[in-house]
Amino acid sequence: MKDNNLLYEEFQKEAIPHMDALFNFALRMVGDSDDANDLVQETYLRAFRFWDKFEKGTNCKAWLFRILKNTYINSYRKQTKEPNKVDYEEVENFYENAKPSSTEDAHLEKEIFDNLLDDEVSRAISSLPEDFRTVVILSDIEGFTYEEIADFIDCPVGTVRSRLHRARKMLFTKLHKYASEKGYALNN
Amino acid sequence: MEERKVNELITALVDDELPEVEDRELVLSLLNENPHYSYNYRVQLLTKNIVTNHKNFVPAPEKLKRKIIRNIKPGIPVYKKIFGNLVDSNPPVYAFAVVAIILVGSLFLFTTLMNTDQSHVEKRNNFFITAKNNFYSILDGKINPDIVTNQPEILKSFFIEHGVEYNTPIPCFKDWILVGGVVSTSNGEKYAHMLYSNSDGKIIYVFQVCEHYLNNSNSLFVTDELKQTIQTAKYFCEKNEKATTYLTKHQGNLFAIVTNDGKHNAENLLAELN
Repeated sequence: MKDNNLLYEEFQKEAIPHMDALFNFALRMVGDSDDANDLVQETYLRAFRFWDKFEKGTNCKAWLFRILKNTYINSYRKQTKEPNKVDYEEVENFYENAKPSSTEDAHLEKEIFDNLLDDEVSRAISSLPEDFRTVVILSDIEGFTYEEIADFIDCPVGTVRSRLHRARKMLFTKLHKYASEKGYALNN
Repeated sequence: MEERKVNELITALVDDELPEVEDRELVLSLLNENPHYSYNYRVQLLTKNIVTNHKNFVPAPEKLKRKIIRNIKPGIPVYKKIFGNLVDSNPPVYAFAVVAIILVGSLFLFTTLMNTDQSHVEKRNNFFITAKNNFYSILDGKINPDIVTNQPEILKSFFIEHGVEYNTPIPCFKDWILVGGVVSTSNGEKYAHMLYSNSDGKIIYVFQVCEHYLNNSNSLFVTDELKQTIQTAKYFCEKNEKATTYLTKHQGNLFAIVTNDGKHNAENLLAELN
C-alpha cells in the first residue's frame, strides 16, 4: 500500500492536468455548469479513491473519462434533460438533397463555415443525440483514438466509425442550416 | 462492398484510422472514381475541421480546481515544492532551517482552506482560532512551505507577487531564524503566514493581516472583545499545554503569533516585534 502523500503527489501530477478536458466534456454532456462542476468533482473524488488501481503508464485521461462516464450514467443521465433529438431519416433526406449536382459544390467551401460562431457549433453539437454527441466530442474535440472511444462507449471500433460518420452528417446538416440562415451558404 | 461500409471507411480515413493498406487503397480509389464518395469524404473532413476549430473550450473554473484539490487531500493546498531547490542551491544558509523543519515535521495547514463543505466555505473564520489551528497543523507536519528563505525582503516580495494586498512587515526575533512563508487563499482573499525556528527545533508561527483588510474580509474576523483587549492591554495572550498564542497590533496589522517555546515570555517577544 503506497503512502497517501505519494499517491496524492502522483495524482496531482498525472490526473489534475486533465481537469479542463473533463470539465469541457462534462459541460457538453450535462449542459449546465453547476452540474458539470458536480460531475467533475465527483469524478475526481472517485478517481483518487481508486488511484492505486490505476495502471501507471496507461492513458490517464482515458481512465478519468471512463470514470466520468460511469458517474454520469449513474447520477446525472436521468436528471439531464435530453436536447431535442435529431431525426436521422430527416437528416439523411436533407443531406441527400443538399448534395451538389455538379462538382462546383460551393456550399462545401470552408470559408462559409468559418463564419459560424463557436456558440453555433456548440449548439449544433449539443443538439445531437447523446450517443452521437459523445463520439464527436471524444474524437474531434478531445482527440481520442477509435480504440479509446470504443473502450469508453463499450462498443466495437466499427460502431465508433459508424456513429462518427452519421454524427458528422447530422452536424453538417445543422451547420449548413445555420450558415444558410445567416446567408453564408451560396447554394444548395 | 456496401455503401454503408464504404462510408465508415471514409470516416476512418479522415481520422487517419485506417491501418490496413488494402482498405486505404480501396477507399482512395473509390474517392477518385465516385463523386458521391468524394463528396462524403469532404463533408466528413470539413465537419471535423469545423468542430476542431470551433471548440469553444471552457476551462474548469479555478474555484472548482481548488475545491477538488482540497477535497482530495484536506489541508494540503496546491503549493509548489520549491523547498528542495532552495536548499540544494544554498546549503549553508538553509541548513539550519532544514534541520528545524525536519524536527518539527513540516508545516502550514490553513483551516481557512480546510473546509470542504460549500456552506462552510462561505462562513467567516475567527482569526485567533484559525491561527491556533494552523499552528497545531504545523506541529502535525501536514505541509511544506511555499517558500523557504531566511531573507525578510525575499519573503516580502513573495507575498506581494502572490497577491497579498496588504503591507507585510517581517518581524525579526532574537535567537530565531526566519524559515519561510506561505500565502493562503480563502474566499479569494490572500493571506500571509510566516514561520521561524530556533536551535531547539521550536517554532514561531506568525499570521498577520492588515486591520482594515480584516475588517472588510469575507473570510476572517476578530471578535469585538479581543479588539477591545488589544486596544487597552496592547496584546492578548492565551496559553495551553501545546502552545502560547499572542494577538497584538503592529504597523497597522493584526498579528497572531503562536509558539511552542515555553521559555518565551510575552514581553520579550512583543518587544522584539516592536
